[in-house]
Amino acid sequence: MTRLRVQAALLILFALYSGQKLVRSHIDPSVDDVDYMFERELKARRGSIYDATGYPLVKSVPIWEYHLDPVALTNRVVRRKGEPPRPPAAIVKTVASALGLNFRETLAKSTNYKNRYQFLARSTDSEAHRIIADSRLVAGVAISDKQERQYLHGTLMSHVLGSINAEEEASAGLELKYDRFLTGVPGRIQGMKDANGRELYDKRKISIDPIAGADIHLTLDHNLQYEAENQLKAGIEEFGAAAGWAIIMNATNGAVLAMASYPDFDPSAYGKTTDEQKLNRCVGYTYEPGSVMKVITVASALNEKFVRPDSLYNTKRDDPDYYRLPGDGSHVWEPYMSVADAVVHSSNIVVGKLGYDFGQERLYNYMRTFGFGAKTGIELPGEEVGILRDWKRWDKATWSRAPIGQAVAVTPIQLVSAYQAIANDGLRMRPHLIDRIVGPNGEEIYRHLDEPMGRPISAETARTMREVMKPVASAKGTARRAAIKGYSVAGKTGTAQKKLPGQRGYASGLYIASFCGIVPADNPAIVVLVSLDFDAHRPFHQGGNSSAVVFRKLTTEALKYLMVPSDKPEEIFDEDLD
Amino acid sequence: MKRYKKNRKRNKRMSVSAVRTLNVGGVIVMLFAMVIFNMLAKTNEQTIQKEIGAKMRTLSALEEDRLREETRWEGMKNPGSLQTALLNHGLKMNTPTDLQIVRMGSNRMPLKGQLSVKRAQSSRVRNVVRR
Repeated sequence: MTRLRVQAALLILFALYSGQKLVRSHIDPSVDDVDYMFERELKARRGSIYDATGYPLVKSVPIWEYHLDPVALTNRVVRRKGEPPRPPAAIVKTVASALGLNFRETLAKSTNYKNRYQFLARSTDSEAHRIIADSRLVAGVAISDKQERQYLHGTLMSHVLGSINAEEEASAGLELKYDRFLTGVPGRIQGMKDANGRELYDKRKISIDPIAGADIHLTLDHNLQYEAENQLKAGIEEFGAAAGWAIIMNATNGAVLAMASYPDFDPSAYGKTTDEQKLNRCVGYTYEPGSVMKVITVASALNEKFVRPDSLYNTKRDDPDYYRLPGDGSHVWEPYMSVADAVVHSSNIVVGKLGYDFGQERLYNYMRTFGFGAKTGIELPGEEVGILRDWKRWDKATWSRAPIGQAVAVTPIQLVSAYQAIANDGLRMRPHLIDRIVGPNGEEIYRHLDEPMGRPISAETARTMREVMKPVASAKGTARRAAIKGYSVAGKTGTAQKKLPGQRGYASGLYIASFCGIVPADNPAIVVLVSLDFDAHRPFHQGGNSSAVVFRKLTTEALKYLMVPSDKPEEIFDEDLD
Repeated sequence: MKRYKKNRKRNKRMSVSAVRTLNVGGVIVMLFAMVIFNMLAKTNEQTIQKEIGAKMRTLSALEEDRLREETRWEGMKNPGSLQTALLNHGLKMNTPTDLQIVRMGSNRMPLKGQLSVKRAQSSRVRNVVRR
């Protein structure tokens, strides 16, 4: 009887033990293994940026970062089966040749036992990784998985794209402005590791995959951008300018097709970049535009039917009816000049008089509707507002100078946007460079819809204005060098005097030369602005001599690339060829 | 009578014990079988999990390799790199000249003078850079 009871008790104990083992193995297998538990955050892949053709501009790529531990390199025995242990020098040779490092420098690092975490290299070479990760070949090299932001075109579009630093913090450009879209959601792993610290994959408890960041698709075209940057740099070199900028904008919807600013920088080395290089002059630089502003004054007066293109003004500078007109002695031989000719010859006196007669309040209001004195809203950080004081605060000097582009300051993007209104039959569209933002699963998060910003002038005035501007790029205008074979150009030159900070008046011999043109003039496809900033006196500092040349070269290539039909084919085809 | 009662008592006790022993033994055998079955199942599960883990790691590594290689190629195909590569072979990349473009009219026919022999001959220009 007693024997039976003992047997039964033992069996019950065995059953209980087995039962609890079963339950624990299914419900909570890790109760006894707290020391082997780990939790790790998985970084999300940062979104990419693509151009209008779908070509990638920026991508995050998984890379390996290698660090050397001299102590582990010396102490750990490394050998292949059947071979003697490898000496440290042989290991260093393997590492150096795999990573393309200097052997002597690497060997010197391997004997510096004070520093047990010495940076070796960052690499994407999977063959090098395979060799270094082989414990039979190499010891003492720590490998960590990282993400590297790769700017596939080097300095191209650097001001638009911006940069991220080593801590993956956005520093400038779209990287900064759209950081919240580009940064994904990190994932999480919770599991167990073995005595060597390696994860036991079958013991993983939590596994939440990271969600990659969204991709941004731009309206900019990398081929046009390449052309714009190359032509701009060549122009700066040819004419001896210190800086420059160029913008190509779609004439109908305000999409920016290329945006170049020089000096530029390498986004991969943002820490070594100077403030001068970091500045995106297309949106973050204000300057007195000079004569390119005359188009706005004349368009405003034409729109109000205050004058007609053939209305005549006398070209006398010392006219008692006007307050200190800005002088240009180039056309004193003409006693009278029409408004249209004033644009073609860029007459300060005539346009100054016209602006004076037109009235400061009306001129100010037109300038506002053309977009001056306010941000355009383009999707880039650091956009400047420009300077356009309220008309009530204008003195008489401002009144006579604002019509010719002095006493007001604009940004290049504001100027292009104003010309875009003239190109688009009076309708100004919001300048933009983001077409759409696409989530990691292909879903569209944002798509730009063309947004009208107002109609400063009527369609009729815009067409008249383009006709008025056409002869500028001809033998009788100020920019014959801007003429493009096979296409009509409606544009305007500008040679703005520069003002140095902390000094009264304009600096002698320093100019910003501009040319802004609409092509083709009758059926506009693009608006192009080219400006060169001279920090010393140069012989070709006028807009018609320098910027117009860069404009012609750049626009000729852009028209071919965009396959814009010629509106003057007779200029292209040589009759002899037929 | 007395003997009969004694026998009945003994028989009853013996039969009851036999039944109880049989029940407990059955439960134990069943539990033991369950433990063995569970261990076998778990071992099999672990093997499959390890295989899945290894395959997932391989997939992830291959995906990363693909991304790296794709990016490397994309970096080589940008206009600047292509220009440099062509220059290394004594070639220069240009957009076509006006005479190398055939322009079509609205009637989808080449404009006048587009397909002339002289034009074709004059457009036969090779952009070769002399080293």
